[in-house]
Amino acid sequence: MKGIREYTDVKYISKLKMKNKYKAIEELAQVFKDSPVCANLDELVTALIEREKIMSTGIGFGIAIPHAKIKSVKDIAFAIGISKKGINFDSLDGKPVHLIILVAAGERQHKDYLKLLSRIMSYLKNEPVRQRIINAQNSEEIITQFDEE
Amino acid sequence: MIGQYGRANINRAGSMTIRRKRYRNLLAGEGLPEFQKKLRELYLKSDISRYIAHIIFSLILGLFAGFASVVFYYLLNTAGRYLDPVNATSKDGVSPVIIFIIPVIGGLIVATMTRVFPALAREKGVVNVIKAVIINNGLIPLKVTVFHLFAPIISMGFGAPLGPEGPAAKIGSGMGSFMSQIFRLNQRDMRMYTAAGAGAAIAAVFNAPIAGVFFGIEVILLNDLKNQALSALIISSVVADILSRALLGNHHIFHIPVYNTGSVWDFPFFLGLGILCGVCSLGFFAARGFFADILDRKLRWKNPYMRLIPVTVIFGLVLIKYHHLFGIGYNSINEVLNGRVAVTTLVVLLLLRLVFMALFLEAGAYGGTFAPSLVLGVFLGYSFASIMNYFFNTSLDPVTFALVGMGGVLAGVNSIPLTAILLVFEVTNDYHFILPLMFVSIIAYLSMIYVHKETVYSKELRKTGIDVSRRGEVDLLGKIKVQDLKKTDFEAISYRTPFRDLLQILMGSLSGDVFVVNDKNQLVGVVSLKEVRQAIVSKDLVDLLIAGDITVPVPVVTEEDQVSVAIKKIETYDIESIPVVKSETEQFITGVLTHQDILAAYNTMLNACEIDQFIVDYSSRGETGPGQ
Repeated sequence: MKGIREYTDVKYISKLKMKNKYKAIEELAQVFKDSPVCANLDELVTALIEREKIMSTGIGFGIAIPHAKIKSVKDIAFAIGISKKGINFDSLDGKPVHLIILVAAGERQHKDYLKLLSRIMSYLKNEPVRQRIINAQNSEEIITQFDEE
Repeated sequence: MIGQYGRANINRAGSMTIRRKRYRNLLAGEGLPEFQKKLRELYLKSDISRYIAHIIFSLILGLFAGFASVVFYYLLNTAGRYLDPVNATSKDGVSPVIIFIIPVIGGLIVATMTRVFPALAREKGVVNVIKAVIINNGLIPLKVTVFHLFAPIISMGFGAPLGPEGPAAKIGSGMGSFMSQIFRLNQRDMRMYTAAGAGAAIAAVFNAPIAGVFFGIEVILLNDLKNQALSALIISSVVADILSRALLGNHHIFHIPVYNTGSVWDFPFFLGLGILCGVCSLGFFAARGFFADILDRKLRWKNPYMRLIPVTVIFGLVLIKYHHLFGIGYNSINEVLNGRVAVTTLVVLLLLRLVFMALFLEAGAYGGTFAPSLVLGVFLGYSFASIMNYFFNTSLDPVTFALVGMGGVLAGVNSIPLTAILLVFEVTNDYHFILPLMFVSIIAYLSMIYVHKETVYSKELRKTGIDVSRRGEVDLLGKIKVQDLKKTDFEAISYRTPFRDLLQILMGSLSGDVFVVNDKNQLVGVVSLKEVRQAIVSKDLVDLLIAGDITVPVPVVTEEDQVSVAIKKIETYDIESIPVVKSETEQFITGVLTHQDILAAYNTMLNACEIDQFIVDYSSRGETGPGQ
């Protein structure tokens, strides 16, 4: 499998303004607009929100990983959303989320999907890495962090 | 008081008791010299007796099938000698009325035979021999054999442009079956000798023992080289051919002039001929399909007179101008090979023969397609080379192309590349053109298979309810329905289930698969242990995922589906079990079918089933069976 950097792009990074978790997901998903990742953005947003409603993807440590596997996604990819103020994500540890990794995968990309989620999780468990990403000055700096995975 | 008859009975009973005692003593080896005793013990201990019996029965079969084929061949030749206008015109000329009337009379007799013996008439063709071997333990009643000895003689003797091999195979296998009935052999042996008899008859009729063996393997045994009938097939083919040569003479059917096999640069042209032979074969199938459609579906003519007489009338009229179309056509082959037929006539004859061959078969005449294929091949090959020479100034030898074309059309029309090569080799008794013959035969065969995707015999058998499409593999699983084998104890969870809970269920599941349903209880997909290994290894994912995240789509079967459909899907998707749903649209799970259960059922059926292994259940396929 490729490095996780290969699944994102500087264009898929966004500083989030929304404080509501569903709105924040919708806001972050917009980075895929006009990109080859997803042919139907509305479908993606709906799937992400529905999934979020079943069980929170806020896994603690200030991170949330909303994810969805749908037909209209051609290539598996993830977007990175930063919220300095933090978003209430009903996380496991109850703390606000500052870093959202939004993973979108195609219906038949099951194995890559699980591998990518697993690698993102293990990489972001590293506290200094997490802090460097959240406190980065610009998108290039964030991407550089993933280059170092 | 004991009367005269009573005393006779006592005497008879007494002598029987003495005979029985002698027999018992003989079996025990009493009164035998030591050497003979040891020999007898060795004989009884080993299974050599079975081998000896097998060889003897194969020899007898060769004699039976060979003799019947010789009779068939002799009668057919005699009919041809008197009725073929080619033979007659050489003497004193034949009036067009007679030429016209001969096939019509033949048609009338054959239609009458079909009308009077409809059940026997239905058993025609090689396909019915294969059916008898597969589903009837090789049982062919003697009356069927006798009917198919005479009906083709009349049909072909009076001009139908068909060949003797279909009827010969029928007669040979009928003799195998008859012999097995006389000696009261068991079902397995009867099946074996019935199959072997077909090959023996082909060997005798064509003076081609190797082709006879391969005909048996390729056609009757459906390419099963491991079949135990193989040795019987070889022995009986050899004996039948020896008998045929002894009684009919070591004659050659074809008179081949001196020819040039050409050079390696001719092979592109052979490739072209191979493709053309394939196209010709496909044209023949298309013509058969077309006429079948007209006679069976558009006109709906069931009456044998209505079907056959108009065809013989048209044929009779055409025959006045093109008498080369009469009968099997070996005379025509010799005339063409010796350059006595113009190329333009040859092309017309090729088309007419192809059309009438298809017409006669569909109309209800009796005969096969081997010999007509040889004729078509000669016409095609000869005209192809001549046309190439004319337009492209090449120097292809039309005789070589004609000989090679025989194999091409034979392989294409009958889906028998090996038999085609060997039959042409044996009937021409010439090895020089073997390479282009092999090349053209296989190209023609592949061209036909490319379009039809299956052999002509598997196609014909499927129409009658027998599925041999999987290269003769036994389609036992096509006989049982999913509902007969499904289990109702299966694991199904909501797609909302957290992965942590799902993991517990998955670990406790016997099959390693858990089905996932939506809020309406409809199937969404499956979570299988091997698919989620990654999620289990990475403990971090346990709190992130729910069942819906790791569900993968799964194929389904309905209760009415055949188990063969289920196993195909299980193999394609590489899964351990497949959910059974109420219907494709509703997707409510009613059970599960596991790979293991299917294999267990298959093994049980394989042991139990010997006879009806190829039967297709029409009702479960939703197809229409023959005669329905």
